Amino acid sequence: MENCNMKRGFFFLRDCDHPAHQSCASCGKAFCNEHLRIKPGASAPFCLDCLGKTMQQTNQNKDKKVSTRDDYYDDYYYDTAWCYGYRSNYYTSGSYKPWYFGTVDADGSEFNDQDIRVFEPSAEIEDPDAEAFDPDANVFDS
Amino acid sequence: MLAPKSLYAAFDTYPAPKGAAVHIREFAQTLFVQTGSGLLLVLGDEALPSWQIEGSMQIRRLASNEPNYLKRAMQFGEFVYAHAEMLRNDLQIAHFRDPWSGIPLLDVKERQYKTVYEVNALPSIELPTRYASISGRTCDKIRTLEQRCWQEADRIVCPSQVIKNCLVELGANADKITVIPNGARLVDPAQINIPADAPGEYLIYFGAAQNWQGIEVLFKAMTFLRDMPELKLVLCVSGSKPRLKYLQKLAWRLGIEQQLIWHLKVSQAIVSDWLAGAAISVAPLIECSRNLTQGCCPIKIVESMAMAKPVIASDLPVVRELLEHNHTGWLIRPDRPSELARAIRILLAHPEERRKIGENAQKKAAKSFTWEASAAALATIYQQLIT
Amino acid sequence: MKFLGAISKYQKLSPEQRSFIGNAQRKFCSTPAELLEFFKPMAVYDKSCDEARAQLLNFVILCGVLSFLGLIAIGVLSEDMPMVIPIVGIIFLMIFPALILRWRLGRVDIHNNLREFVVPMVNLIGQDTAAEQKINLELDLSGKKLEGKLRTRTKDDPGWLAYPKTTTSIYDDPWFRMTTDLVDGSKLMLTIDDQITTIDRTYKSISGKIKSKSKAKVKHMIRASLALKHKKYAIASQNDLQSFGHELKLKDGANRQVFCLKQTVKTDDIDAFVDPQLCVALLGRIFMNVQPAGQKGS
Ligand SMILES: [Zn+2]
Ligand SMILES: [Zn+2]
Repeated sequence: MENCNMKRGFFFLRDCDHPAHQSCASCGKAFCNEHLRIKPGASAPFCLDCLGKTMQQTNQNKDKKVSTRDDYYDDYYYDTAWCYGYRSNYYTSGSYKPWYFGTVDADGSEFNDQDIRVFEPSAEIEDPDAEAFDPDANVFDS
Repeated sequence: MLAPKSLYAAFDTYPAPKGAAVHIREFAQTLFVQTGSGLLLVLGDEALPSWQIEGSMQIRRLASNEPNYLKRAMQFGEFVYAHAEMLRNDLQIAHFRDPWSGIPLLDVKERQYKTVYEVNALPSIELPTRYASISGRTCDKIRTLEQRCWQEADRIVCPSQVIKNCLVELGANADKITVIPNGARLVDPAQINIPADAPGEYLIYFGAAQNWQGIEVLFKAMTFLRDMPELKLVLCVSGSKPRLKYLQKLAWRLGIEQQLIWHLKVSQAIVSDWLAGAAISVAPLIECSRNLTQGCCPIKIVESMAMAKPVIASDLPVVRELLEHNHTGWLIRPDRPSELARAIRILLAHPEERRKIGENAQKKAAKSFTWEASAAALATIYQQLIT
Repeated sequence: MKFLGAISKYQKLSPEQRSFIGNAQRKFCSTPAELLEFFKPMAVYDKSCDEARAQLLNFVILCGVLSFLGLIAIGVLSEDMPMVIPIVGIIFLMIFPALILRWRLGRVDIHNNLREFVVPMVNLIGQDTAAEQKINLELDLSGKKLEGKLRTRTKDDPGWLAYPKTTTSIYDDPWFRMTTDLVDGSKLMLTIDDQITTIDRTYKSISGKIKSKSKAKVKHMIRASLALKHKKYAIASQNDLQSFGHELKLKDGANRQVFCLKQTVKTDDIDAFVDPQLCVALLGRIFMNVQPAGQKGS
């Protein structure tokens, strides 16, 4: 399964570890549900990077009073989605270049929550096919 | 008490009724004898003391309630780091069994000690068989830790040629790897008191219960042996609670629960008593990447051989390093319950054959697989590192 | 009729959120997601409340102007069109409910810093914390000129009937404190202390009238500190960091090096909010000027 193509973070970018669910209608890359949003009136989802860029533009082009009347804008502005627009603007307008940690965890050799999560005792496989185990199977195996 | 001169770290509960614990005991003792005194860092539980002194050996146990494996491993890493950092000028050798202990030992700055990495298994290969949802990225991270261990450790020891090949394949320097097979103490079964409640004739499976051990295959084989109601299978196993529960449920579903005698998490001595009375010891390892590419050295096979017990085991490269079919053991194709059942039938029907195989196995063990031999090989490595 | 929207948004707030709007002081220790969940409805409400109040004010002004024009019209037209009198009366009377409504909404308003600064800041910093990492946040958005925040008040009174008289009050308002651990292991601390100076002057104008004037000055003192792990970042010397200028303070610890940058922003508007960009820029400057620690081992 493909992993989500989004990079999380603001000062530091790192790969999103979630499995991808759908493709962005604008850039075509695959993302996880956390990093996709459906715009009002659109049927296909946009990734937060693409959405962020269009929202930043809308914000600059439109008269502020017009855009603030939009409930969708409220939802966007006070949501994590806003950070993606803000950061793309921040990276392009200023001199800041984010640190990229890539697949390696930010804290060096240490593991992140995505890694740790799968090691919960509940995630331990007792038997991958406990239910599929058929006592009568393999009778003719030899 | 003087500062210990060496350290042995293992992310494992010690003592425990499984091969790893025997291994830890034998190797740690060899190390501590070699350097005069030593500190053993292991996992504990509520029942075990967190600090224990036995002659020249100190044992410190991390009793962690952390249910998450990886978090526990990292806690253990911090535990190891704290001790190693404190003793960095006193220790001559630090020996570790896994990357969780290895990375902190390698991380200590200005350390005076040499390191030995004992590779019995690679978590990057073994953990995905336990935790299905591990992502490739997580595995890569674990592999990076392992790689650092085999790159930076001064010496590497492993119990089988298969593991050595696997490491060399990955890029490790073959010159610093030494194969030291697992050992066992030679025992005359006649000297041992077989448990009073032992049935007349029984097979034994002992050791851990992970899914690569093939206990499921053995259970299915038992369904083919229902016509021998007197025949029992004794299981001296340890493992996680859900895993054991699952196995018991499986036995019930297969309708073989009458044929089984369970002994969960019993001591080494009791396992040994049960082994002494068994007709056949079974090691039905499955054909999986863990057993094939990573390799292992099933201590249960070696111990059975040392007690002159015939072993029926899966025909895998790791097993072939130990057993020769129809001479020192009996090999069957892995994952074939009916073949395993047939082998059990054949050996049960021929006690003379069984005795002969057992004796040959014991001779072979005496020649190649004693802890004395392992200890001597290991001691040589320590000596080379110290001088 | 935006006040209807504002009222319905207010009614949807939880008692906890309403009580926060009421006293506007609180310490939080929650994950960014929890904080956003708590703040977001208030931010949305606050925006519509501000818009409603602006609209009501326009309405009041409009009514005032119309009433005034109406009075003239009454003088001119009342004999021909008696209807004009009640219409003007109604328009005039509409001013009062609108004013009361506007005042009531003002009572349940919260400083714009919440939606314009706190929410975006929590949002941005939350991007760089581990998923379950909690943020410690101390907020005080209650008034900036409360007597409890008064530091000094000096009165310059030349005597009875002598002018000008001036009263200078200085208030300290440390209204924002945020600390958390970032995903690279750094510890972050962001604080904003406002200093408000009000000057009330009573003077005699040239024409001899007694007049009063009030002026306010606000200083936002923004402080951003990052304690960077030695394990992760190379230790910087003062020489490496000349680009920071004088406002950088450096402190060396056993495991971390602390960078502290300060910036002061002045304004005359007591209701002005702080631009998150200012904090982001300070933190960005620190991260841009440090070097990662060398790879250990290999
Ligand atoms: Zn996109
Ligand atoms: Zn994602």
